[in-house]
Amino acid sequence: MSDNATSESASEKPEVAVEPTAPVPETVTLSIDGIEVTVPKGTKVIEAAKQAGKVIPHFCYHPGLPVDGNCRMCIADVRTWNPRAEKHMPARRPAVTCWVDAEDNMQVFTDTPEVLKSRATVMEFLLLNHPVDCPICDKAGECMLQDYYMLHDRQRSEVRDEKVHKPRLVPFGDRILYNGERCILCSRCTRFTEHVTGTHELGIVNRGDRAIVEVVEGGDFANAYTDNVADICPVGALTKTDFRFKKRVWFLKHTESVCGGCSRTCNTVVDHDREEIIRIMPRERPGVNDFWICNEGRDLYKELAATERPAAASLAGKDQASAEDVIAWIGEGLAAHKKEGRERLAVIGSSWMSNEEAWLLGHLVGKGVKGQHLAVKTDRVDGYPADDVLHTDDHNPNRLGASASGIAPGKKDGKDLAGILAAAQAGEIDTLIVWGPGLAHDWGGDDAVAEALAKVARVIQLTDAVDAVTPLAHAVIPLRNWAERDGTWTNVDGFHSRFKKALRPPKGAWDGFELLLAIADAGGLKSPAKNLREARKKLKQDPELQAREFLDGRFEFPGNQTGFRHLGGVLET
Amino acid sequence: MSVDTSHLEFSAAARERVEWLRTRYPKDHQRALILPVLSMAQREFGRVGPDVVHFVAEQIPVPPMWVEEVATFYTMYNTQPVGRWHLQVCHNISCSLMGAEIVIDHLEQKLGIRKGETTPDGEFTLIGAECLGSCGTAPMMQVNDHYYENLSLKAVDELLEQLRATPDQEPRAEDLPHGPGSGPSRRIADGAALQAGRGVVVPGHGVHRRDEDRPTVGDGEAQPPFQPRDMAQ
Ligand code: SF4
Ligand code: SF4
Ligand code: FES
Ligand code: FES
Repeated sequence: MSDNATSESASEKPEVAVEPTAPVPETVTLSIDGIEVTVPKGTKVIEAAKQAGKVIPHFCYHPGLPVDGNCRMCIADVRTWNPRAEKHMPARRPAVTCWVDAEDNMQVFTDTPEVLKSRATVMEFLLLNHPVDCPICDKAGECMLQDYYMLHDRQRSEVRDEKVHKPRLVPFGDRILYNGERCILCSRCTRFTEHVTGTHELGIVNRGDRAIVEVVEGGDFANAYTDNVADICPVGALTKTDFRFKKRVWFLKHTESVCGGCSRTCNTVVDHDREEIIRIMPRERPGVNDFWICNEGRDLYKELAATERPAAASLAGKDQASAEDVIAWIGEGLAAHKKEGRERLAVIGSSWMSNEEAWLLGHLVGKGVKGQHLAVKTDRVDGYPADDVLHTDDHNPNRLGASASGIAPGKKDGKDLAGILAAAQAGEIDTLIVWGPGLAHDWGGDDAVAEALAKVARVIQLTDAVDAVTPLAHAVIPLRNWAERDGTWTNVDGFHSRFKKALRPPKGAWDGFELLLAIADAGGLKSPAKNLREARKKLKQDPELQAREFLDGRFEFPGNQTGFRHLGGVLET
Repeated sequence: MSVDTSHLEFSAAARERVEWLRTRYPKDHQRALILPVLSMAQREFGRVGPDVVHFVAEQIPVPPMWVEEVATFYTMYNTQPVGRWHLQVCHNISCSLMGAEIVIDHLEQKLGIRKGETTPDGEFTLIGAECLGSCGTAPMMQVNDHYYENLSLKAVDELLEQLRATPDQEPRAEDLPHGPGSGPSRRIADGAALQAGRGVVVPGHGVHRRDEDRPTVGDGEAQPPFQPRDMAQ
């Protein structure tokens, strides 16, 4: 644009120095079905329309992938402003809105009769060889082809020839099955392997009605992010072996959650039914995980189900101790330590506890106070290796958040994990509070833990999983796990993500935050917040928590669970 | 990837040509080399199976999937070894309207093979090709590197006989180094029919390329010879 201006003025008056061109406007304003929107320059019309509340039907376009423009479903009547004629130029043909940049003064009509008719025609072609086996297709209910057919086409196929047959049930690695007949060749999956993972395993081979997606000859589809292709496949061509025939999607209830598989804390949606997690899907969250999650994160629910949990609260030397008894015992002990002997109390927090819990626990025992021993341990050791897509090398979500919120050694003489171990071995610790499992890793094995704990008079474990500490602890209170409670985690880059309660917790399992409030009550300690909301508010003001934002993912659930909730599997709204 | 390419090697001439081609494309657009290098590989190795695809990907270098996509898209790349004569009958719209399917059926019956197969004696491979850019003279087929146009069934029969009778021949030295379209492939014959130009003259049945052999239309007047449009106008 500036080039043109320069050359024009130069050819007219070559002797005059060319004035510097005005800075390019950063935004453009256009109208979508009469609704004005202003968007950054370079935004595609389809995205601009989304901001005007108009979802233009699309298959191949995906906000997380480069534009390809092959499906032609997103066509609309796009009229550009002609400054010389001073009018909008009528479009000669429908424009592909995922490809066309929004321009100033542009007029877009997304649902005129002509546009709808063109779209129906596009659908007719896409469905030419589609088997329409929705009743046995796992995608049914969240399939874009199905939704758009109902909205735009709704006609019988005119074709009387036999449909083209293609390979079905082709394994793409261990986790994905490909059905060539359902595939509409949108190339979302191939672009994913090309641009997101950069592994180039998938490609479209052959031509015309023989074209199919294939795994590269001699290769395997086995990267850590393979399942995303099934999410973004707009139809049921790619299905996850983990989800196949497990549940019709309309029975699923969706709860916003966060993955704790590593310190990326990808935002997820937990899809569950009858108190059982059926699958974990990614939730859009710019800056954290964008649209993707790794396969480990998807399998986390299996790990959760396989975890052995403490059956009930227990107190050493007391049969049938009720949770209240244990809480009272802990509370009194804490209060005693606060009065004197602070340096004989140590708290080992968890890298899985929520910021709110960490904050409250930190306050209760004297966060930042001289001689206070607080440390965060590593709960989980194994996981996928770090890579440059999402996964980090810390297989726990909230190390940063927990220590920033309050589980950090006191300024002076506060001991860290190794320090606490040494002190325990030397018999300098009277009370040790351990949150969650996994201490054996940081303390050098089960035997070392047993040896150190033998010298501690009161070992208290608040945990959602049994580990080497549990049988040795004098008091144990079962906690709820991440799928059963609310909270926030802070990821490695300082982004907060909020997870919500998806499952009904087992009987006797305490919400960590509530438990701490109860302990404070029992010990007569002053709690800095009366409930989770207040804690969250105060946390936000906490200067120590240097976080970039305090936002949930921008995904919201519509009241009725219909519409385009699942567009592209990434739960775009 | 786990495809072994160690048994493949380009001739010196081909290697030189790859290096020369490389200079024609910007550094970040070396992907454009896939077409010519694949074509050279086909001339060198006779086919572009998985091993050749990976070999080409290593030469450029690009991910093998990119090469595989290209190699399977164009019907001119033979992913399987082909017979001495590779009959590529266009069956895209124009040719189809003009009876390409009839030609293919006829060939299938005559040769006793199905589309995509090779005769047991290794003489003929029959495939259906997508538009070969010769729609004006549909139906047409490409045999190895040469076009045979305005086909009739009789012309096809005669062509088959001519091909059978044509002895195989090694490429002429002046056709190397090979580039896309730079000369007949190793499998092309130098028979009398091919000497006549880019087509087989079968009087009365079409199959022409030279203007004097064009069929007449309407009142019998010869059509004016083909004039390339003056692009300057
Ligand atoms: S498998 Fe799905 S995502 Fe991949 S090209 Fe086919 S329809 Fe598109
Ligand atoms: S990258 Fe980490 S946080 Fe994201 S899904 Fe995988 S394990 Fe979970
Ligand atoms: S969404 Fe625009 S062409 Fe496919
Ligand atoms: S359709 Fe046969 S050459 Fe174009």
